[in-house]
Amino acid sequence: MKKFLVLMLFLLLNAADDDFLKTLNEVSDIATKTKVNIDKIPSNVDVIRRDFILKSGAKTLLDVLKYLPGIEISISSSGKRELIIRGNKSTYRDKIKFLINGIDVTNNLYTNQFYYYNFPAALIKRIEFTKTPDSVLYGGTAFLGVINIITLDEYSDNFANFYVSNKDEYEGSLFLNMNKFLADIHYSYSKPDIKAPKTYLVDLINETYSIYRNETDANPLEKNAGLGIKYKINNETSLSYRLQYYQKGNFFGIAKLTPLKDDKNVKLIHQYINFNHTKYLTSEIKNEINTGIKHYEWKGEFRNYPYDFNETIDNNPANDIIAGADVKEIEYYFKNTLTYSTEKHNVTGLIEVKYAKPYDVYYLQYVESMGNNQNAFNLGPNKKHLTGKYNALKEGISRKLLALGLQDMYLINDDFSLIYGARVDKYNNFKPKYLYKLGGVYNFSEYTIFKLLYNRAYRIPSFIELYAQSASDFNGNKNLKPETVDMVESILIKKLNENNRFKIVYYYGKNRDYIGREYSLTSGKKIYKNLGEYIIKGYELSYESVYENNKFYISYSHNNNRYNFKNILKGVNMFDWPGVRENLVKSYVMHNFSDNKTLFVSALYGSKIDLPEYVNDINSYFSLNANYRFKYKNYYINIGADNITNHKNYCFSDPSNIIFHRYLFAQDGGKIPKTGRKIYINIEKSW
Amino acid sequence: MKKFLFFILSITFLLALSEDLMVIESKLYSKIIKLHTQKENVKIGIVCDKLPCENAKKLEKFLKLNQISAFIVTKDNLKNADAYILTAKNPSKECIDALLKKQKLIFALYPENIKYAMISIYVGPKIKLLINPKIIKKANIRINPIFFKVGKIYEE
Repeated sequence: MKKFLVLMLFLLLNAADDDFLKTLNEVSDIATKTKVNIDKIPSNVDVIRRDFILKSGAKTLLDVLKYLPGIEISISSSGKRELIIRGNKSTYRDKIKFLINGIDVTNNLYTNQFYYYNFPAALIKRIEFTKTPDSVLYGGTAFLGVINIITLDEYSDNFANFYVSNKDEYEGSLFLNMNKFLADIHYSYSKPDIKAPKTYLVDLINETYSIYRNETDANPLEKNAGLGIKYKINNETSLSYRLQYYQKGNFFGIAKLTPLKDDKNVKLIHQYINFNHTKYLTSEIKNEINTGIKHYEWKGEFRNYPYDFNETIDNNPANDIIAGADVKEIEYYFKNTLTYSTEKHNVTGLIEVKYAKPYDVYYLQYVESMGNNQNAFNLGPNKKHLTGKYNALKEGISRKLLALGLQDMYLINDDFSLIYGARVDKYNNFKPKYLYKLGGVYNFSEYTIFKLLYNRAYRIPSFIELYAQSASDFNGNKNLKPETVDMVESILIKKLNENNRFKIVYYYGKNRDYIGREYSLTSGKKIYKNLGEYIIKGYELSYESVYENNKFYISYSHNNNRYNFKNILKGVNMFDWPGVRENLVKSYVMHNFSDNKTLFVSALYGSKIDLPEYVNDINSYFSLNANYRFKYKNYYINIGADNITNHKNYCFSDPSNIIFHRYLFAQDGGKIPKTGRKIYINIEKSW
Repeated sequence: MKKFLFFILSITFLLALSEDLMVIESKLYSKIIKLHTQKENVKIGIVCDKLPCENAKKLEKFLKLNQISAFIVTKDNLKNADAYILTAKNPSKECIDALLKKQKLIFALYPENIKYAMISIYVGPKIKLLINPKIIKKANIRINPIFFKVGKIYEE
């Protein structure tokens, strides 16, 4: 009996020890997920936490991302918000993986996600931005990096805020933490008073140009709404749903034409429902299942130009050619990740399957004044849904993926770790893609850390790039191959003392089979092609100083990317003018007067954008911003201003498609304006 | 068991991380206390220098999410508990002495305060326990050998 009791006690103690070791692995997992140990692991991630988000006075996600080194926030002419990452400007899609709480919200239609760029900063707990390609863990769209947005969670208080500015914009958001049930909801409206630049009509045959439309009011409407719900069924299982709605006007004009009277809008809706089950099978083995359904819809119309092409004598909206489409896409996915953690290893094995297809797709093209008379302009009279050969996208297409991956982080000792992994992705209509990574981190001391990372990633062409058959900017090419990137990054972190830290990053990458649009004088279209090799290289320097109540940060980044291919149009190589700012400087000072009073002042600078000789370069970008945050009774109030000096800032705008094999439209100076000085107030309450 | 010459950066770089650290600590410390006391229902005293103490309030909330009964105490009013967590950046000698007399586990919220506590965390590639045998000895208590097995030993 005594022997039995001793044995039972031993077993119980072992079970308790095992439980403790499981918790230790669990918290290590949290540390890696929350990036508190970022200096110790072989990856390069910028992490922005809630404290900064709230004190900077940021309204949207982009207002936060603008402080990261190497990131330029831009906008394309039709109003699509753009992230230019390390000098990579890619019209309509930013070649990154975008996750909300770990769930990919990038669509297959165009592999973009800009409908999330205005997501309210107030609902964000943490942003993780890695500019390192990482297809081994994240698959095909983690081409230039991965953004993961972590929203408020079970550790967060209930929260509500209201924001209003002098630029005719307001926003409200609410987060509720009801123990097992979390919900966030938001709505925003924005319509600043800005002008669309005048448009020139360029005649490529006669080599002349003339004003086609004068400067006019832009249509910069943006409405965002969203809902996120998470229900924790038990400690291991949860169900989450998220909807993001985005409506936008065409800003400065579609196809580089300034807006017309009574302009139209575009609506984008992304939704997902995800089932998560995470279970520790033993103290060392964790299994995580994520499965669900995603749905995306793009629905919109644009006024292009009067059917007679004669802008100067006709100003009747009923005579405009209106083009549009409705594209719905559904995706089913399943991902199983098995993690094996020991003192020395952290092995991750994953299997992923997905199926995606567009459905219920149609194209619109009509002229109201032409009634039922069908012709080349009034292709589908009275908004008739055009399918078949007139459809915006080839019909009957779909995509299947099977992916297998394995990664190990080998912790040789506390100062030296290696990471290595490989993955194979098999899409039904492409050859298997093999991806791999290798990296290491060495802590020379607590003050000096060196990392070296190599990643091979790829991007599968989107449905639009492959199968679009529209007459305007979107012309697919079914022969496209996936593009790949091999990227090497070296990172040196040097802490001068307990309060000062330098970081130097150098990167060099080769993007092969670059997917971009090539102008064709014969077809008059910009057609997607694998254009060749693109070199991505540059460096980022940053310095951070933190004292008791003060924080100072400054970064400088330089990109020197190069296209090893050309697209010459009338003697001008279009790829000589990528429309990006090569040098970016970002700085801020944060001073905490007390726990409840903070002043945040920032200055952002971007060098000029080079343009061909016959057009003036676009001036450098500058924005001085300030936010004062204080507590009044039970409310936090932010009062601030962006672009205090009202500096005239612009984004690059490239010329349109070629029309009738002869004409193209170009916006004055190849640029479109940003809003000027903005003054705002934001009231928050948490409970 | 590895000896660890303690050398950690000032909390200034960790200040912004404190909430994530607290989530980690609340999970880990809850488990350690249960293992140490062999009790399911344990009470933790969160020790503050002065009130109000925002970090202590957050930690109290996070511990409760781990089904642990927690309350905030000050050095002048150290109510009985199964363990204590030091949250002050520079706890006073009186406070440490008073805690040692209780002969209970003492944790440090900020890793650099391990010199005043028995256990804190080491943030490396993996999370490890930081153990200060000197304080354990001073309090004259014994702790589960597994903590030594998986932890790092702090030596001033």
